[in-house]
Amino acid sequence: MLRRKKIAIISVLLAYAIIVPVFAVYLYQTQPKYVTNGVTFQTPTLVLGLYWNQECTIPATSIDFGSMIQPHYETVLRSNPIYLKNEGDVPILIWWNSTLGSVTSEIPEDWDLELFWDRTQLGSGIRELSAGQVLATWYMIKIPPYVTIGTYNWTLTIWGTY
Amino acid sequence: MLFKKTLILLVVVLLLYPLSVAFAFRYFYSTTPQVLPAGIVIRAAHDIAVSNLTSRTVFGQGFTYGLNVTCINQGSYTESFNVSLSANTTEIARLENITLPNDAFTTSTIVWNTTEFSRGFYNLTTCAEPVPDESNITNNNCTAIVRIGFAGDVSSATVGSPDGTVNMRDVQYLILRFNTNPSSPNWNINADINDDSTVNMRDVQIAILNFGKHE
Repeated sequence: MLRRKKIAIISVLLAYAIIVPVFAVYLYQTQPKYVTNGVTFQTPTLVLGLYWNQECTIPATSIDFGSMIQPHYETVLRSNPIYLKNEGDVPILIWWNSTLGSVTSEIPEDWDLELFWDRTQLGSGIRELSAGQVLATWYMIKIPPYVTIGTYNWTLTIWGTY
Repeated sequence: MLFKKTLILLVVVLLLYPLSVAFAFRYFYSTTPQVLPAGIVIRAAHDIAVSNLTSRTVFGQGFTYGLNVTCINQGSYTESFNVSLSANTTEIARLENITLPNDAFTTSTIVWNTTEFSRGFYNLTTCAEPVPDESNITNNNCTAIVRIGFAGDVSSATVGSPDGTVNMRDVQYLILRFNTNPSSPNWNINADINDDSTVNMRDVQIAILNFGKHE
């Protein structure tokens, strides 16, 4: 009986330790603005925009590499410039993934996110985009010689975190 | 003892708090994922394909048939190439210098006179000779297994499957398709014994003239 009671207490404490912070953060995030003791807290807005142009007027909704002839002798690089804009009001870290690897192993891909930032102001490994910042990036695929002929479709997902 | 346990529990709870907060921030504080569909079409530089050979599987010995062969240029350049048609290892015909722009196809008719061929099964193979630098040659051949038999032997106890004997089953098969042509719903090219694109009394007559013959 005592043992059961102990387990129950521990469970409640653990649940409390997990649920309460999550719920608190959720509430904090979903409330647009509130005032405590005269201090105004602004809920951060997180929006990442993808565009074809530097002015960020043409949204990027898909990447069509079109049709190309199977290379015979050397790997051909195909790339697309994509402008990322942090349209929120706080810095965000950029993340991306792709399903190309599950579609084919013959076409390697890369997004020069790390490369770009490594060479600029932010330093190695940091993929932070400050509020309002626009960055030109390149998404590229490499078509090796004698890649299997066919149509390849995949999806890219990119998102930012606070 | 009790104090020690409580302390451990307290430490666990305290450790869980920042982890939960971090998780919650990570979960709630991310942008809506932007999903970009992407695609590319890889085409061959040079790629000739044979896409279709005749659908006739039964040939009457001693008759002449036109076999349609469809070739496609799936590559990116205009190509000139040769196409041959063979029954087993015997070359029946050869079409030379077929010229096709990219993404175009052509259907050629090759005439096959079966008089010189003995009755039996044949591998009928159409082969487009590879063009220079063509890497994908798996689609350059098209093969069909066909049978040469007594003209009129088109059916058996298994409807539509010849059995080496010309009998009432064959006549019945022809009559059931009487007056059909390629646009008819019940058209079967094997019933058109003389290859004039109609199943009529001429075909029935051929079957009757060979009536009773068996292999």
